[in-house]
Amino acid sequence: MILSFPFNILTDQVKFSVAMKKIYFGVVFFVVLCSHSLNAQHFSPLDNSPTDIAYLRTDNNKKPVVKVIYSRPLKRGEQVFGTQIPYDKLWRTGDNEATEVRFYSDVRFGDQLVKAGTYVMHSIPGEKEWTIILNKNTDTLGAFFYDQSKDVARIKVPARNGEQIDIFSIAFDKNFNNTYMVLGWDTTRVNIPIDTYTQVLAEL
Amino acid sequence: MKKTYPLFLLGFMLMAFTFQVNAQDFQPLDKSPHDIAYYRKTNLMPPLVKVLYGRPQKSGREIFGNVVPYGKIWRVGANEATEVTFYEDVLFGSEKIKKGIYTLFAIPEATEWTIILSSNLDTWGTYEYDPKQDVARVKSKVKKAEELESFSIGFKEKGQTVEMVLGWDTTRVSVPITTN
Repeated sequence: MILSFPFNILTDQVKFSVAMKKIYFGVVFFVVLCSHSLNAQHFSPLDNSPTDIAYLRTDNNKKPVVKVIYSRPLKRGEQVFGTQIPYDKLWRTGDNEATEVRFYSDVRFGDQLVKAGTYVMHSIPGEKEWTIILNKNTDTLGAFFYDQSKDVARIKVPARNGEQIDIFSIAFDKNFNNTYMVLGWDTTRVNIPIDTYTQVLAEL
Repeated sequence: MKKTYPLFLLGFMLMAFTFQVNAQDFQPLDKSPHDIAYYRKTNLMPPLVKVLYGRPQKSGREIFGNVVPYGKIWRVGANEATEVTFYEDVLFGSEKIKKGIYTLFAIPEATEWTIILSSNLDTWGTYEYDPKQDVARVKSKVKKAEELESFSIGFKEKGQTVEMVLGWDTTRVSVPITTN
């Protein structure tokens, strides 16, 4: 409706000069362009930081124990942490929608017990130590709607070095009888101990 | 030289092996990346519907009746079965659905698709699809539109209802969803 406004003014003119015709053509072209984007609006293009899913399963044929839905941004400059992602500030632990973690049973997350359910996972990256936060305020964009009163767990984990990796990645590492959720980007790695012993016991 | 050769080979094998173990932890970007489609009444309101799905590409191929055969169950995307979350009870087509999480499948045909909601969650593709766990089956007519390179799911408001639209290639199929 707003777009057709200058169009109306033009048709009210007595005569179309060549310049007017050019403007008229421009307006029509603009309206066509806009209506094209309106038609396409309900489908979004592929995201620059695509969404991915990481699962923790006790056995490949069994239902998952933990599921992480997160966005995977790319490293842009020389260094990610401290520049692209600042230290000591709340981070969505990915990109776009806040990273979502689903526990299918009660778990021990770091040194804290967390009930089965769906949470968002924020973090505060540090040079030597990260704070990892689980919060009940789900389906939020980034960390803009973060509300500390809805935290369910806050743990501190050390940062360590690993091989250079360009895309932000989350994976599970089940070595040496311990399970870790591993966050990896650039040369930084953060291991979050996860103990799903209740699940293991239930399956015995 | 001859003595060091096996040692060198062993070292190389060890290196290759350790590299593999290190790289195995993290997955590369998926060729059919996942995406999330939300339906909210206004931008700042909590979502009413959320769809988590894989987005395969057309890549010059004819999709329906070819890459995705007619008359067979399809995961409506790629990789893991597509997951739909309803944040309140809804009407899916004309079927009453309780709020919760479901998987979405479809049986594409040239003129009409069957869209299926299932309660069997966290499955890979359609390999574990079991019709006994169906929650709803809705029929929907196929419409034709502009060619779309990436498989897409979106929402389109139509008065009091919202349509969940599946689009790929020149095919569009939609299911009306009614919320309170």
